[in-house]
Amino acid sequence: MLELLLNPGFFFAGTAAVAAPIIIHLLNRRRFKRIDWAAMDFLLEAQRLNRRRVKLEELILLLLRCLAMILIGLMIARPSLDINVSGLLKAGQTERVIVLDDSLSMATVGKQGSPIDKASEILQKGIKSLSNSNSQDIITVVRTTDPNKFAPNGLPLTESSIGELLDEFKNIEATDLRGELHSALSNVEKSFDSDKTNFNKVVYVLTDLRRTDWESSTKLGSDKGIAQTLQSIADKAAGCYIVDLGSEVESNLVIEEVKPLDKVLVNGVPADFEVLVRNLGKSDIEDVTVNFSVRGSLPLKSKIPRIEAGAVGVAAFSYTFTDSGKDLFSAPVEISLDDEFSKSQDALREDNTRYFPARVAGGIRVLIVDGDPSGIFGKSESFYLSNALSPGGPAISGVDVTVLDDTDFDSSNLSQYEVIFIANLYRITEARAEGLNEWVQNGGGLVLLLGDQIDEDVYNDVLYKNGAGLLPFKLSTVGGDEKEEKWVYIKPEKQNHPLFRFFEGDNKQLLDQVKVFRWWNSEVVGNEDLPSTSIVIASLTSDDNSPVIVERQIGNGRVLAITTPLDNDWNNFPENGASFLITAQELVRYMSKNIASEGMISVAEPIICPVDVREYRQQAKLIRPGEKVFEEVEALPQNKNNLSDLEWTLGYERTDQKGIYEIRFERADGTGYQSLAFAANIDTEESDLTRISAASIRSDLGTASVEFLPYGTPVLELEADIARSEMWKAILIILGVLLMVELFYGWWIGARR
Amino acid sequence: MAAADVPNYLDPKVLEKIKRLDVRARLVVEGFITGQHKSPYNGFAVEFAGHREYSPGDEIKHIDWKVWSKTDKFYIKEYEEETNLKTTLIVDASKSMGYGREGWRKFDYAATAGATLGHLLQSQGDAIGLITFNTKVKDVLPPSARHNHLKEIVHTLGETVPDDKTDVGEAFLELVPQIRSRGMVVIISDLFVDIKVLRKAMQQFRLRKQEVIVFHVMDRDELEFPFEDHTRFLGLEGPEEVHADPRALRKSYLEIVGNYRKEVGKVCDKLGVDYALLDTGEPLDAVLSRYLAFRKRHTRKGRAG
Repeated sequence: MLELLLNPGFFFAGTAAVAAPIIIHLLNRRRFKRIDWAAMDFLLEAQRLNRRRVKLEELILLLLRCLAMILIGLMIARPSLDINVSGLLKAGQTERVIVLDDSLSMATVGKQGSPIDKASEILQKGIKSLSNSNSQDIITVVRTTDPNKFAPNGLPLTESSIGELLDEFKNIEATDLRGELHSALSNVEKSFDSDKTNFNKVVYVLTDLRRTDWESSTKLGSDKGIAQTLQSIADKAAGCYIVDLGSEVESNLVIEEVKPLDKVLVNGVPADFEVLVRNLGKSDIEDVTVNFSVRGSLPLKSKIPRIEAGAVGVAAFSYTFTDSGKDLFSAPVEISLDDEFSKSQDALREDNTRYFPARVAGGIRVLIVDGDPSGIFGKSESFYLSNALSPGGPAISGVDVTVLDDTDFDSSNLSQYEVIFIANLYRITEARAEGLNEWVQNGGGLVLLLGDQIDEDVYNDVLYKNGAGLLPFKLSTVGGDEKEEKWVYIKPEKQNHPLFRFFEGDNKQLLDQVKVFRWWNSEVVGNEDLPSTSIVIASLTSDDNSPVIVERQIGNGRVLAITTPLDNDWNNFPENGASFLITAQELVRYMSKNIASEGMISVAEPIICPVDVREYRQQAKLIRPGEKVFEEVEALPQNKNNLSDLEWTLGYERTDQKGIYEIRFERADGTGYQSLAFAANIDTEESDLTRISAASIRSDLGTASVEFLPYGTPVLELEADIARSEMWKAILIILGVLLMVELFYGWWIGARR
Repeated sequence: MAAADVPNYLDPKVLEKIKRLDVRARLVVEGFITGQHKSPYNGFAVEFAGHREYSPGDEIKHIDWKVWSKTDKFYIKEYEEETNLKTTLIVDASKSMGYGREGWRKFDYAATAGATLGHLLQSQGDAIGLITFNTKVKDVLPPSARHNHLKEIVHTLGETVPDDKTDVGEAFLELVPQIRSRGMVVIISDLFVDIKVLRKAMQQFRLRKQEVIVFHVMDRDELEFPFEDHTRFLGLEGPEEVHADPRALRKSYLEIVGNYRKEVGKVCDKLGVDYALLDTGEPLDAVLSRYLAFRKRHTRKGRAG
């Protein structure tokens, strides 16, 4: 009962005030005149005749007055009913909940202005109208781009708040964010259950009626569809309106993707890009010029002759990022559609630009762990490989090779390498194997080259682990001819594998020149219980077709094991010159993780960046898109309980704007800073401006009392049409009637006397 | 002096300012007479009624010598009896008569009415007597036509203070034997008495051949019950009290008073008693004209009889 009252205290006050008429009555009885009366017999007789009637009349009057006091209390306590009532009962304070779609698509250019401008206009008009009518209403706004936040939340309309609201509504702009209409509506629905105040709620959904917004629930797989959520809101609310602000659009192009064709962008090495432009309009578009501008320089231009409706056009760019002296640098790229086109035809200009962080490395960082180092030229295990990967000469191979022996390897920081070759290493420690495993899980490419130094028992124990370790097979014995009088060839098992791309066609004969004299026999066991299976990429032409190259995917990385080393001990491959060099280069690129697109995030996706605090200071500076002032940011330990872990993380969540976010890490030794770019791009789903028809939504809603309002009709001003359930006006009317009855009854009994 | 400036001594508001009862009475009578076109005394002149033959025992002074001279027979000249009328004023001095505003209580009104009648009657040579009573008969002044007798009556009335609880019933019955000779009885009372007792008393008067006129004195308040606020009514003659909203009781009260008056009127009518209500707010000439009309009626009756 009490939860139906807005101010239950007043109800109790009113109930207590019932005492007032009784007290007044008693006081009146105490205040009287005295008259010495002669005709007492007559008076006594009159009193005897009237006693019962007078008592009854007075009792009725007293009851009427007490009831009036209760009603006054009840009226001030402002009870409300959950049911919708109309007519006389329309009155009282209303919470107007505005679900505002301020996602990117609301910036669509239309004939009558963008939907967001319309929303701004409607809200300003509504607030002005409410303030003119001295409304006591309260306002709540939920934005679909931030559905968990109600801001303002239940702000009463006062002189100052009206000004604030008008300012806020005047400055509404479409964000770069994706709208989550369904989440916003779900939160509004929940607020009905959690909110204990008894305001009437009227919900207005200001939307451009995009199909993607209204059908999002099915994608999200939530238990309640958007229609059910709305139905539920309509059941609980005093009114529910969908305000359609959108309009049909003819053409919209969106840059859907910027795709580097290489896995790593290397300083001084030409990098190829494909820019995918999708035509979301209704007709084909010709001559779309795409601009590619690095670090704000004059753009490269590429023209797509024609993009059919609904299809994707590709613009190709090749660019060589250069920078002197730095290992790693960022060269942010802005890719945009030609301005002229954007202005003339495109409905949504915001999606005509895309950003690319372009983190350029000095080279693909490769570590070769030499299991058989030697001071003699050409004798060490890594000799051929390191030379093939990083040959001398003016051309840059794009591979940055580091060679370590087993001792240095144990203490090295693996995270700085993309690819690690373990060449004929005698044995490996358990701890190092674990470190390697983690590194591979995180995307590293590990190549195990197995030669005469290998302790197969250690490898099987530490690396194979019955199929659960890094090694894709179990080592058994060394096969082949010790005297190197017999040999076998390498036979690719997978067609079109990147490793053997070079040996296709006429170059196949080059592969046939590779002679393998000795190799490790292995047992490749296909086991479905294991996290991933080993794939034989190439085998030998020996009697048992012994596998020679076996690959296994582990986590984000992969392990490749070659059962013969890449030096000239067990085979003659390194002596084959060009084919070995090309294979080694291809191998590195195949094994390298794709870091060309690192730093690409969506708008609103947090930046998470690992920081090695041995190298960089904990504090860093961040520049937001289009700004020049730094913002201080700080890296924090990933695990607060394990401070010895020196890989800390820098997190930044305010990526609500598209563009380049640049973080500058200061080097711990004070030798300058390292700049790292993150490119936040809009969700291309927002670019799909296909509308859903009101009829379609209505059919989903069934009988729910949701009303559609087109742009141009009054929205917040619809006061008279809102069915309200507050009852104070009704009580006021009843009170008025009661007081009239009291007055009339008083007069009537007076007249009768 | 303009006529409008002459104080109207019949108006109770004027009269109440005059403290002396005798002056009051004289002013009323004079004021009353001034207002009449015809002097009321005319009606009271010694009036010839008829002749009858002389019979031994008749007073010689009544023989009409003019008739004797013409007829040589003795005829006695007969006159109207009223010239020797004995009127007894019975004034109620019970406590209930003390009701009313200071200086113009019911008793003051009754006393003024009585004195006025006395004044009128004496001026035409009638004998007047006075009896006052409360719980019992208080003062008795037998009828007399002496000039000083009126002064005594007025004095007695002036000295009487209404008090004591009235058991008027007993007193009424006690009044009857006080009047010995035939004549008129004027009762001025608020008649707060049981109707049966009143009837019995009236019957007694009538049986003794008394002509009775009852002036029922009531205060304006008692007639209209004009009170508005909560009031505690304290009984003047007893311990009873009523605490009430007067508005709630007015209608019934007025009905009861009206019924009582009707009842009294009926009793009086049946017994040939003249009944008149005296409202203390009304001018006193009503008393005089009522009395004179009554008297005239009875003298005619006598003449006809």
